Amino acid sequence: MSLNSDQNYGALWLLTPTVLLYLATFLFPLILLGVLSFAKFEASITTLGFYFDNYIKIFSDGITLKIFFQTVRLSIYITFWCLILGYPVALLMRSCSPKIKMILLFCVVSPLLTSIIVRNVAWLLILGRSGMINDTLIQWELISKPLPLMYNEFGVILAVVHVYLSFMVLPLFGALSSINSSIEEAASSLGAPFWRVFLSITLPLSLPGIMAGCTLVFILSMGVYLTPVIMGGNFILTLPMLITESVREQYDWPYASAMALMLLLAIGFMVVLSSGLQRLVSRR
Amino acid sequence: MSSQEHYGSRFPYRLLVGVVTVVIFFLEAPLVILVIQSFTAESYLAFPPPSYGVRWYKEVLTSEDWLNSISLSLIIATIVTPLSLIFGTMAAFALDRGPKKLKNGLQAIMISPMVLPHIVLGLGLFKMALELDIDDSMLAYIPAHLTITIPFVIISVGASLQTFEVTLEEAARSLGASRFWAVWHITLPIIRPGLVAGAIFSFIISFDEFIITFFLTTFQRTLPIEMFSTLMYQVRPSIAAVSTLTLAVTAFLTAMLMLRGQITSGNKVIK
Amino acid sequence: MSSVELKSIVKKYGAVTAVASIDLSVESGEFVTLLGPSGCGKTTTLRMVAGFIRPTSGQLYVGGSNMDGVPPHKRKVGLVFQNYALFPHMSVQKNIEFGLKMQNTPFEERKDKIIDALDLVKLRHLEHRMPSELSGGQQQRVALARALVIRPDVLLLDEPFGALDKQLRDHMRIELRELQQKLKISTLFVTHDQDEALSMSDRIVVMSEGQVSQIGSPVEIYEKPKTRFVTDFIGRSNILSGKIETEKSNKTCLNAEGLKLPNVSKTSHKSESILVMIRPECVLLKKPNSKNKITNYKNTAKILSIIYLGSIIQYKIKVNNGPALIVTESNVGYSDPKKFSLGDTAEIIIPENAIYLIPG
Repeated sequence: MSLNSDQNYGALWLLTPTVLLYLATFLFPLILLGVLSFAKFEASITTLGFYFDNYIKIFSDGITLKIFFQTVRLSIYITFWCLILGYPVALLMRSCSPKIKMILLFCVVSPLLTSIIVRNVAWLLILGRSGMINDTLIQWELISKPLPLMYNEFGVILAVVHVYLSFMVLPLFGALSSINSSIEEAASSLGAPFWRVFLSITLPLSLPGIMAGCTLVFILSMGVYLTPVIMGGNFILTLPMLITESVREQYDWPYASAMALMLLLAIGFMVVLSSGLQRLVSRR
Repeated sequence: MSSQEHYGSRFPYRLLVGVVTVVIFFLEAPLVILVIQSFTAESYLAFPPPSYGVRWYKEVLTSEDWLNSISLSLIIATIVTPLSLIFGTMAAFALDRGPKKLKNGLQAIMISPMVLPHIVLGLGLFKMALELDIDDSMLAYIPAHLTITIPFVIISVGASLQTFEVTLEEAARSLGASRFWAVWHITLPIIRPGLVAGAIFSFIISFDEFIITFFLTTFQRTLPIEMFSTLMYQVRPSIAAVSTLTLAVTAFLTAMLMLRGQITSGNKVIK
Repeated sequence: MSSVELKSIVKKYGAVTAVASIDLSVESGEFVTLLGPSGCGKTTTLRMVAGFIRPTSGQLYVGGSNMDGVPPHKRKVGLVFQNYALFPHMSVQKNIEFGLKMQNTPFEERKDKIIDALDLVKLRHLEHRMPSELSGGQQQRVALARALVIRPDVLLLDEPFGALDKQLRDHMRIELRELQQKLKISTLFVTHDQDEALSMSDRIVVMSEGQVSQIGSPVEIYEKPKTRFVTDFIGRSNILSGKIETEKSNKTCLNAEGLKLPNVSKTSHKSESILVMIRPECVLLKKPNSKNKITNYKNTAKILSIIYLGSIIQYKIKVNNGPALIVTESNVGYSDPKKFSLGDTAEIIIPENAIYLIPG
C-alpha cells in the first residue's frame, strides 16, 4: 500500500551488528579461502600467489574427482530416498485431523533440533557389527556371521536420510497445503480415479515444494561430514572428509581451499539450476 | 477433514497411513532404542538390556571429561543465545521496517549462512582464527556460532513481525511513546513467541554444533566433540547415556516450541 | 485559535501525488470530516496530522504550533484506528493507562483519570477485561477512552466504525457525536460513509484523487454540491446534461435530455451546456388523472421498475421523450405501496427548488 512506501532507509542501521559480524566471520574467511586456493603448497610450505596447481590437481589426480562424484552420487541417492519417504508423510499431514497433524509435525520437527551425533549413535547401536539387528539375528541363529549393515554406502545413506528427512517434508507440506483441495474434489467429481487426480493435479501442483526440498537436501548432503565418518568408517570417502583430512593431517590449506571452493561452486550451480527450474514451473 | 473427502472413497487412505507409520517408525524407533539401551546395568550395550540401572548416568555425571565438555557447551550456548537474539531481532526489524524493494535481496544475504556448507564455513573460520591466534578459545567459538544461529532468529522473529499489526505501534506513539518505548512495551511483548522460538533454535543449534567447532578446537572439547572422540575410540554405554541426556534437553525445548504454536516459523526455516 | 491547520500540504510518493495541496483548518471544538472514496488521500492527510507521514511540502499546525519535524509522540493528538489497535496483552485499564504513563502522570492522578475515562464511555465495569474479551462496540469505546484520556489538542478518527455492524455503527455515531459535543474537543474524522459524514459533522471536506472537491456544512454539501464528483458521491441523484432554450413565449427554459424544466439559472446564455441535478426524493409522482397544477412544466413518465426498500420505495421511470430517472417516495403508512404498477403512466412534478445546476 502506498502508505507504507513512506518507510525509511533509517531502519537499515539495525543491520549493522549482524553485517559487521558476517563481514568478519563469513565474507572474510571465504575470501581467505579464495586467496589460498590459488597458493602453492610444496614441502609443507604455503606460497601465496596465483597458481592453478590445486585446481589442476583436483582434475588430474584421479582421486579427488572420483570422490567428488561419489559425494554427488551419494547426495542424489539421499535426496531420492528423502523424497520417496517424505512425500507420503507430507500428504498425510495435509489431510489428517489437527491432532494427528500435531503428532506428525512433532516427529518431523524434532529431528531438526536433535543432535546429528546422537542420531548417528542410535544407528550405530542398531546397525553395528554387534548392534541390535545382528545380535538378534545371530541369537535366533538365522545368520552365523554379522551382516555388513554399516561401514558401507547403505549405512551412510540410511543415517543421512534419517537426519535430513525433515528438510524434505516441511517444504513438501508447505506446497501441498497451499493447493486448494476443491481443485482435487472437482477432478474426482468429474470421474477421475484417485491415481489420476494425484498424477495430474496433486503431484504437478506440489512441484515447487518438491524442487525446494530436493535442492535443500542435496545441498546439505553435499556438505555432510559427521555421518559418513561415523557410519562409513574410512570406507566411504566424501569431499568434506577429504577437505578436513588435508587440513587437519597434512596442513595442505591451498588444496583444501580449492576443494572447498569446488564444493561451493557445485552447490551454487544447484541453486541456480533449481531457481531456474522453479521459474520455469511457475510460469507454466 | 479426511483424505477420503479429497479423493472420493477410492483413495487408498489406509495404505498411506501404513506407509507413514513405517516412516515415523524409522524416524523415531532408533531414538527409543537408544534411550532404552542407555539404562543398561551391564558393561556392554545390548537390546534389550539384560538388566536395567542408572549406572552409566552416574558415570557420566561424575566423569570429569564429560562434565567439562557439557559445561563448555552450556557456557557457549548460554552466551550465544542472547547475543544471537539481539543481533537477529535487530536485523529482523530492519528487514521488516526497511524499504520494501530491498527486503527480499537483503533477507537472502542475511540468512545465507544457512545454505553455506558448514564444512566450508568451518574451514575458513579456522584459517582466520589461526591467523589471529584466537583458535581454541571463546573468541573464536562465539562469533562462529552466532553466524549460524542468527539466520534462525531472523526467520522466526521475521515471521512474527509479519503478522504483527503495525497500527499497535502507531497507537502507542500517538499516546506519547517514543519509537523505542513503543517497541519495548508493545511490539516485543506481542512477538514474544517468535523471540522464544529464535532463542530455542539458537540454543539448540549452538549446543549441538559439531563441525565448525571441531575445526576451531585443539585441546578444548565441547560435548559433541567429546562424544565424537569417544565414539571413534569405543562404543560404550556411557555414550548412550550422554546422548539420552542431550535428547531429553532438546526434546523438552522442542515440545515448548511446538506448544507455543511456532511451527509456522519452523516451516519458514525450510523455505 | 484553530486546533489543526493545514497550509498547502502536499504529499508525493515519487511521481505519485497522494495529496495535492490541501488547505484546511479545524476550529476549536469543531467536528470536521474528511470524506471520500478509498485512495482519495483522506487517510494520508490524517496520518500527516498524526505525524506518521511527513508532508512533502506545506505547513502543519496542531494546537497553534508548527509540527515540522515533531515526531508523533510529541504531538498532542488522540488517534482511534479502524481496527481499534488495542494492545492485546494489556487489560482495558492498562490500555487506557498507557498514554498517562508515557506522560509520566503520577499514580494517584492516573487512577482518577482512568476512572473518569471509563465513566465517559460507560465501561467502568469492564476495567479488568482483556481486549479479546470485549465486543466490537466495547473495544471501540476503549479505544476512544484511551485516546481521550491524554487530553489531546485534537482527536483523530480513522474510519472508526468500519469494523462494526450497521446497527451498532448507527448507535456509536450518535454516542460519539454527543461525547464530542460534551467535551468540546476538536475532531478530525475520516470516512468513506456519507451517512456518517452528514450526520456527525460540523463541516465536511469532500476529497477526490488527492484534492479537495468541496468544503462545507452537511447541508451545503448535500444540497449545493459544487462539482459533479460531489454530486455523484453524496446521496443518489439524477444527473442530466441540460441546455437553456428559448420557448415560443420568449421565456427561457431548461431542456435536460428532453425533460423540460423551468430555467432556474439566473442567466440566459443559450446553448451553454450545464449539468442538472435532481435528487430522487424531490420528485413527486402523481396519478395522471389528478388535477394538481403546480407548474407549467408537465411531464408524464412510465414506471420501469419498483423496488420496495421498507422506509422508501424507489421507482425507475422513463420520461416521455426524455431521460430515465430514479425517484424515491417515502413509505408513509397510509399510502398504498402499490400506488403504481409496472408499466403505469405517472405524472411527474419537479418543484423548482428540487432542480440544482452544477457549476463548471
